Amino acid sequence: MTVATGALVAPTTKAQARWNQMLLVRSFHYTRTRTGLALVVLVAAVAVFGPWLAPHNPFAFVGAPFSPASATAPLGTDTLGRDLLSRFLDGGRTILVISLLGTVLGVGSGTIVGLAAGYSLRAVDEVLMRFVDMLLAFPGIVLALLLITVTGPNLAVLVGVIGLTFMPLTARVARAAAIQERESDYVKYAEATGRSLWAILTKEILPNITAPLTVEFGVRLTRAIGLMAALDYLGLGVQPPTADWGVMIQENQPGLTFEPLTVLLPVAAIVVVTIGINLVTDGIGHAAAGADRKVGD
Amino acid sequence: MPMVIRIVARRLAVGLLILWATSVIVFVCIHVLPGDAAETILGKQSNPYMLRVLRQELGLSKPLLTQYINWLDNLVTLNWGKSLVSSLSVASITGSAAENTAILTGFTMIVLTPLAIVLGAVTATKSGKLWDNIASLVMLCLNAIPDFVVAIILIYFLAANVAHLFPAASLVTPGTSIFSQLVVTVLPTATLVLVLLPYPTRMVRASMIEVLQSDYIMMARLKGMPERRVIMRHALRNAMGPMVQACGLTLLFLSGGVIIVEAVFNYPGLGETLITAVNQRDIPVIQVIVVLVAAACVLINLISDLVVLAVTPKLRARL
Repeated sequence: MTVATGALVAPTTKAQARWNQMLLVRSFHYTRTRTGLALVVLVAAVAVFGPWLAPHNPFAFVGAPFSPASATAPLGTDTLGRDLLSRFLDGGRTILVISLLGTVLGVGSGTIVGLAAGYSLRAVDEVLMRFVDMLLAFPGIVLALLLITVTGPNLAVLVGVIGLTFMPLTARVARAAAIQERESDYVKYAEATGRSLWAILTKEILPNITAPLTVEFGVRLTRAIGLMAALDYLGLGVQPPTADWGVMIQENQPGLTFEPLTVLLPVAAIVVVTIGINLVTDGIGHAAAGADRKVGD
Repeated sequence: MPMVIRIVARRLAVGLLILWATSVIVFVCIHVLPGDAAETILGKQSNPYMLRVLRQELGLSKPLLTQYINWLDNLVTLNWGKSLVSSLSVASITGSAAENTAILTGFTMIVLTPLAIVLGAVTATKSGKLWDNIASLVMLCLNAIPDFVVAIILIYFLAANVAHLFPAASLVTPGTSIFSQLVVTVLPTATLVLVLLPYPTRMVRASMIEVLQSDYIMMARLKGMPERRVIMRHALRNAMGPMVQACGLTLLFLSGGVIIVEAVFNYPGLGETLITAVNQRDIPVIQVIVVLVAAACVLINLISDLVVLAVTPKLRARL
């Protein structure tokens, strides 16, 4: 960390901040980051372009239930006789978009709460963190189930559920990082020169804690996809007849023994994308840990 | 000793406070958010008359604070009412389910703990070598895959397609003990162990690596003590603290993971009951299970804090 050499020189950590921003680039030195990114891009491409490539309408009946591969249905049909390939190509959008939005909401709000708690006076910190503890008393899935009971499963609610479940976890990470920065010279300088609270939080501290927050985002995104897929599977997320990987695993499970592809295809997509994100996150974590702090989970 | 008693008392008080707070969250969720319990129960078939009668019956027309106090009173005195779907008492439904979940949780921890310690210790001694790298990559993947997907993969390989070793669903005759058909617990336990393994293993590995670099380990080695004995007697023992903490956290993850895994295998525990209740909007059952799970989490936190305190004297001063 740079030390101020004169009274008029701001003890900024511009270099440090830039270094943090270069994190993604540096993490590319690791094979696992590149592998992970390739996996994520692959699945994301299926989710984004799949609906245009699908040979059939995902809701159309093209054959008998669980019929094997044929000219009309290249990978066979699903539990109701719809084209498996078309449903697979159509089924990535909902789960990935909801997971992503939920993660953005959760990590975003958690960062705000954590920053405020970590930087502020004791009383604000106490109140915010006790609230966070309260939410953490439930396992995330229980909180999600409780909220879905009340509101019913609609897409906006699912985003909110993921966001609310993750907010307290991110808040802890952001708070721990903010506490480390609070006492540093550049924050003291900003305080002394009378910058506003908002500016200190967002323009000074935030750029310097991007490393742990990026890792946190990756971890949460993996968990969000898992949570969404589980809720879909349990019939509490995206509702049939929408084509969705989680829903597909659930509705095709009776055919697992004789037409396993109907289940294994969406399973593979979820496995590949979650492992991919985890590999990228791990690479970023390694790149960050090489610098100033160890990044856990 | 009074110091220890004070710490325990404080932890207990915090635990109770959190438990009370969760009761407020549950109450608020069920009673205040749009669409009250009566509307939720009646669903789309509701008409104003039915709504009014049901609201009266549920006490929804009373002031909110009175409602909360009545509700809390019933909860604390175990007067949990009846399920809206089966009209069985909630206490009897949750009682047997809690027992089954406790059995599954117990099995998982019995398999998981020694496995994590051995894997963590072995990879720590081989830190940076091929096997350590392979293990860490496998853990990374296991950590990423959602729990119910692991369950489906296990069903594919061990129950349905490749081999037919274990039942894919837990068909337990109601009223009989799970102990008479332990085979149904194999796949749920295996799923939970696989899903939870990465975290405690990494904790053990990290704390072992730290201990192995300490002076007293070097001393023991310089004395000419066999490496096996160095690891077993000195290193492992001193790495205990973080391990206990990891166990506590793993139990917390378990309390969430068990819910989904039970639902996949139709294992008749709290999780499966909760999911069914949520699908049927069976509010009396939902609220009791949610509070029970929260209570279990508070208890786990408390116990693991106290055990950590007991095994690491250094920490006591800091509280």
